[in-house]
Amino acid sequence: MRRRDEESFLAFAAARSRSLFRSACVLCSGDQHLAEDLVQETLGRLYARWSRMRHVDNPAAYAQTVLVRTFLTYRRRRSNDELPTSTVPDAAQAAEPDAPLRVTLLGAMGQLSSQDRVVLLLRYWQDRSVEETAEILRIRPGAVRNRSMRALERLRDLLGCELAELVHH
Amino acid sequence: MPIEDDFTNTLRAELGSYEPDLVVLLGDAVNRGRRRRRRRASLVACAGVLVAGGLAVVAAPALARPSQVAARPARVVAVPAKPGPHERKPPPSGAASPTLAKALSSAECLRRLRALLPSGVTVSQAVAPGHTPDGAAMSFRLDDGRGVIWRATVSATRLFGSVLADERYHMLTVAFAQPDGTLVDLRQQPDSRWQAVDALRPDGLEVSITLSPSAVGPNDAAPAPILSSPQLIAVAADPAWETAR
Repeated sequence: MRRRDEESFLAFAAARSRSLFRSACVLCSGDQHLAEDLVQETLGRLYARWSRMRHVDNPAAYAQTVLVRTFLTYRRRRSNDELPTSTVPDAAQAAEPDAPLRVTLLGAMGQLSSQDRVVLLLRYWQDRSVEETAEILRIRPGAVRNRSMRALERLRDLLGCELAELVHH
Repeated sequence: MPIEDDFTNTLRAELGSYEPDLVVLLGDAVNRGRRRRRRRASLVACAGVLVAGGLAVVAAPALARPSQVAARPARVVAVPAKPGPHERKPPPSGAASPTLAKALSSAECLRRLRALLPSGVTVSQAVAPGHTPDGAAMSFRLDDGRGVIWRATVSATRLFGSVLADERYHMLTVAFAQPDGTLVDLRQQPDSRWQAVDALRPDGLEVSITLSPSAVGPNDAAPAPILSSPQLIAVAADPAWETAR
């Protein structure tokens, strides 16, 4: 990669890293190690095709799409070779005053399937339309609506009154 | 308020304070990107060699048996029974065409690291998405025995042809040579948050290792490096990577 391209990539990556990292935290239900790894993998993929990125209308949105697809690829592979670990994710380690709320929200996300998490992230975290979400996930818009509805119901079951209580305290 | 709004707004507010360590994040991302580009270029070069080899295999018998072609009636243009001066020679049997070496498995890589790392440093498999689909890079957790966990990303890729020439040219401008001809490019942040080394052996095998501390915030004091620069170079440039493949 030419020096000028590398500089423009680094500027882009520095500007988008926070946003990508927070999206990754939602997908990884608060595990910051996994989230960092996911963002690095995403940025690595973007680096490898950076010279062609000038043809992309909205590189920031494209980066989020790559993040989501990388996550889904990883989850599919991980189901085969996941290893047990004795370490507890960061979300539980962070002893901050508002930690219970964060842990509860991210814990609820962690109980959803990978596809459901992605649909919620795209629809409500990133405010993508049903059609955009369907295109990213390569599924029908109707499937996005169904999945989104089911995921929200599941969240409601998981959080119930707990969310309102936690939010108002 | 519907749960989707309540949930999303609350989560946004909660995650607003999540800050990645940009130095580590970008450094490792660029390394992964470079590896990915090299890997892809190697695959393209390998595919080119295979196609050329395939064409040679298909073309060689036809050229080697011109009398059979000449015996065919009609439409086919007559080919002299004796080999003409323009006929290609078959490739020498001793000249092996370069092939892409089998990717180092994660378990093999772990064993190799265990053998190469200095005593006191323990290494284990990381449960992380560092396993790229082509197996080019693998992630491991390193414990320095002083309470700091480090993440190591390791790849061992064989380069050849124009990719090897390009990489060697690049390395010659930034790297220094070991006595055995291995070119070594060591990069690190001044505060030791992040270290990376690329070691390109004369035979084209390139070993890349990136080390970064886990769970250290951008404002935390940087831990002492888990490996000194000579130790990191010794691990990456060790001939054992060659025998592991």
